[in-house]
Amino acid sequence: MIKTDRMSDIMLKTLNIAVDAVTGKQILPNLDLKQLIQAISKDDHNEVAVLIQFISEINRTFHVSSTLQKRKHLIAIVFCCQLEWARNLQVKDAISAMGKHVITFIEQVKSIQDKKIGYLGLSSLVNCCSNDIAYLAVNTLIKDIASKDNHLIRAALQVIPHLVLVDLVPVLFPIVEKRLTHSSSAVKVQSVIALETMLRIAPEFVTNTKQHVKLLLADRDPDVMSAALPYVSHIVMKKPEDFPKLVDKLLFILKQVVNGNMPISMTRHGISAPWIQIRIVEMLSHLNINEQQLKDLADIFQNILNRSQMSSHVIAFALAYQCINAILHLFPPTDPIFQHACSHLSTFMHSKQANYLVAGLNLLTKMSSIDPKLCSSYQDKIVLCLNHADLSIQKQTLILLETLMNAENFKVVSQHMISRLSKSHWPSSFISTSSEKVSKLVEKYPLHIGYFMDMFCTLTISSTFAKSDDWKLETFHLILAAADTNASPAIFDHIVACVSKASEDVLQLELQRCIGFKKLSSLHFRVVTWELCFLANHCNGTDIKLLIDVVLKLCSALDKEKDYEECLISMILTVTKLCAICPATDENLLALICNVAGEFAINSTVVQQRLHELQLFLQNQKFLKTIADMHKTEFSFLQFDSKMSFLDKFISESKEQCQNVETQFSLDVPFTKETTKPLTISVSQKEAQIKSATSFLASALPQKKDIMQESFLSKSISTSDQPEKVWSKQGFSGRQESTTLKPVTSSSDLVSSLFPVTSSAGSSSTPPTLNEALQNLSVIDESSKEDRAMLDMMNDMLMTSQSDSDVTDTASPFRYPKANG
Amino acid sequence: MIKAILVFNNHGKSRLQKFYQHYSEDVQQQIIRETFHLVSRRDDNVCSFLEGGTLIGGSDYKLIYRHYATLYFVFCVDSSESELGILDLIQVFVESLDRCFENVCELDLIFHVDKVHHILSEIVMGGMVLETNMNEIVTKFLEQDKLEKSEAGLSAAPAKAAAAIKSIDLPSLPKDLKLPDLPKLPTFR
Repeated sequence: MIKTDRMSDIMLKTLNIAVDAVTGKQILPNLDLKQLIQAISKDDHNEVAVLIQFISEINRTFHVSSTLQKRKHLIAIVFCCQLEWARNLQVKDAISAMGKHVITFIEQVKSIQDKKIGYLGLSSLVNCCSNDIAYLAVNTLIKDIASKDNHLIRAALQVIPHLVLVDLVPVLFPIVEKRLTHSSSAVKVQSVIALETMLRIAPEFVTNTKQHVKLLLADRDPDVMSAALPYVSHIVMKKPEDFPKLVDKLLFILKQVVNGNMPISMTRHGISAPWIQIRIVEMLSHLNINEQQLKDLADIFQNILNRSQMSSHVIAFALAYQCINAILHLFPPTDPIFQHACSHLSTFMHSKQANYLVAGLNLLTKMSSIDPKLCSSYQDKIVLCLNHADLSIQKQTLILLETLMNAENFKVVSQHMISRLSKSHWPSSFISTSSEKVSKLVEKYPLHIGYFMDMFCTLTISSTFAKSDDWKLETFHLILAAADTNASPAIFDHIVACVSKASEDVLQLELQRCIGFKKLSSLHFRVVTWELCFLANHCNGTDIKLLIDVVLKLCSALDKEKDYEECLISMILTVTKLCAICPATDENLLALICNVAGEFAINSTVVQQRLHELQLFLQNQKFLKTIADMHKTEFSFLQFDSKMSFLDKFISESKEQCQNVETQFSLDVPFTKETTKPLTISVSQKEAQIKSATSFLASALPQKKDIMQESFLSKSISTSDQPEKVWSKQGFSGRQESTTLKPVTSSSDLVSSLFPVTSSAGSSSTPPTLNEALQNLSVIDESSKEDRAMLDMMNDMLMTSQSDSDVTDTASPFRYPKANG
Repeated sequence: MIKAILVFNNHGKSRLQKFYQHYSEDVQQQIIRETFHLVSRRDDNVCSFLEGGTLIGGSDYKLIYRHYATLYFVFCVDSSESELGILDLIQVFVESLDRCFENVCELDLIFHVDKVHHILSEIVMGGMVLETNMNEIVTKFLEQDKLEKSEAGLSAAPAKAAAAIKSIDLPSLPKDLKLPDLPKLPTFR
């Protein structure tokens, strides 16, 4: 930059004014960037007004300004487009009004510098305001690209990636294509990049791509060849079979580059044309290569890795990284070059720089997916990285651990994972992708699904970043979809906890999500039907008829080959509940439900009973209306849970009384004064009577069938079974499943689990999980000492696996009493 | 492909923004804020790579950044680009700016925004890396500067005069001053 400090400002201004006077231009106030910045800094609170005034003033005086002033105005406009206030509508309007001036300026100026500034202004305007201005500049662009001045052609080509739209590609493509054969290499380079942009935006208009590839790769100028590689890559990756000789050509170029046959100007820190090498290696890793070519490539890679070891510069590491990545893709683990790549990895893993360490972990992750034993020499490093202060390194290590996970070590590994994921401040994007990963783990290790569910539920609840209820609900649905019938009982409690405290917006989102399901597993279906009832009660303006349609469709979509009695019952109960909310229902509803039920090969008296109840319910419109009014007044007594401790004794007594009342009023017993006893039915007893008699008022969850298949839904009211006593001498024991984290094992346990020394016994030293213990329940012989010990252990697990304070607090308010203290 | 190049200061004020994929102005400003938020809370001794924010494309894109004194230089790239290579490219860009502006500072990016854009356009065009040799970049920049002066005409007179004065070595001028030989006068008789 020319420093004008030896000439005074006065003299500079005087000369400017003299020039303007000679050329006859009007003397105007100096509207340049400096003035703008000074004005903004003076008036902090009215930046938008200052900006609008400034731009409007430029707009007004642009046509009478000198070329030098216009240039300064455009630079100021470019600066304005970068400001945060440029998104203000008024500022945007003011800037976009400059469009016609800018285009006129570009058309009229002759100097290259002015053209460049004009095009820069134009691209800023297009970026900031709208693409329409680009249409006005097409003619000028074509004219400049067709000119004989190389600098002018370059100035025009440079702006094409910023201006080109789909409509403009057919217009600009022919003229840009012609420039591929220009005499100047700089023009060819920019033409290639402009073509690449057009190929990305509108590939259907970019033709003759095969000829382009041949022409560009054969160009004598290495700059052109280098710039063409992304374009060639883009074309080749779509249809590699069209270019059978490409691999040989690329190998030839790579050999030339590695042997140092490139100009010295392309050398960077002792490495010849590193960017060309990186691009070609990246392309080769995605192409089909035959054996002979692989042999040649192995020699080249050997050469590259040896040379890169001699330099400690970042570009050397970049090239080595690309080579190792390609080797992992192309060569089998038994190949010597593969071994060489593994040994070279140590320069990354043992580097003190975090950037190289992350790159090394990335490569190690890829290696571990090929052969986990390759990571055994980095055990200590993995443990160190897991506790690294840099979250990026921790994250990459967690991803590595996930690939090293297998059926034997998943517990230890997942404990380490979960403990870090729970504590650290992870971005929500990582947490959300981890939910998909857990679903994949669930599919991979279906036997341990209960463990994963507990693990993930704990993560979802305790993660500092997973505060969004909507995300939690979405994740739970994801898990249910993956887990099917193996889902942990805890997951329903978590869903209930989420929806019970979610905001109206989240409930609406959840409603839309439930409505949007097309096909569900049986368990998922039962959860969703429960949710639909809940959401129908709590979301305003819900279309009950739509919900009923959704329930019927989901039920029809269930797998008919399986015996889904619970699903049918759930469907009928849900429809009944929905009808209770909104009495005006379809007259053919019952017929529709019977049709759906008929699709299942189930002949169950319970289903028939439920259908009969629904029929009676629908026929009694007056009663329906009463129930609907009750819902409106939010009577909650209808939804009580027999598991609530203080009602234990009451329920069992009330049942006896109900039974007595029934026998007393049966038709067989003659009605005489002696036989009639005074009725002692109180309101509470009435509740119990209604509760036991009319099953639709029970919780929507179906009855538990078998303790061995105990799921979260089996915690519902059971009219046939005695209510479980939840209070005992040891205190409240309502929760059965543990969601607490077991204490994290030490790093040595982690290492030994990831890379076990050959073990003789297959027995696990870890205590059996609750599921495993329950599975052994049926074969317990109480007389044997071992079985008694197992029973004691189970009891301990049940007693000590109290709910976590988090889970208890977030449990459904109508499910458990609040924990004392 | 490079999706965007952002330069902002420690307070989040944008000093240079170049998007190689179209976003509306609102989204651009949100991307800048989001990127600043992601980058500013990182320590100096952690790695220079992180996942892109949700607005720019999420985990499919990476942010590669370097922090120089008061400025953050951030390149947002997709998976086809080499992260370590881009890290080197940032260094090339900054060193080129330094050589073109002679000890570049934040004010140069403000007051010479056109020159900064021209330097950047020599390095990256259409999201593709064009040139990585610093000498070439600086040479092209100086050529453009020379061309600018030669094209300026009368309006460049002050700049030319200043350049001329600059090139004059005043202290040594008297020593180098060579007076012409005096003509021989005829003798008068």
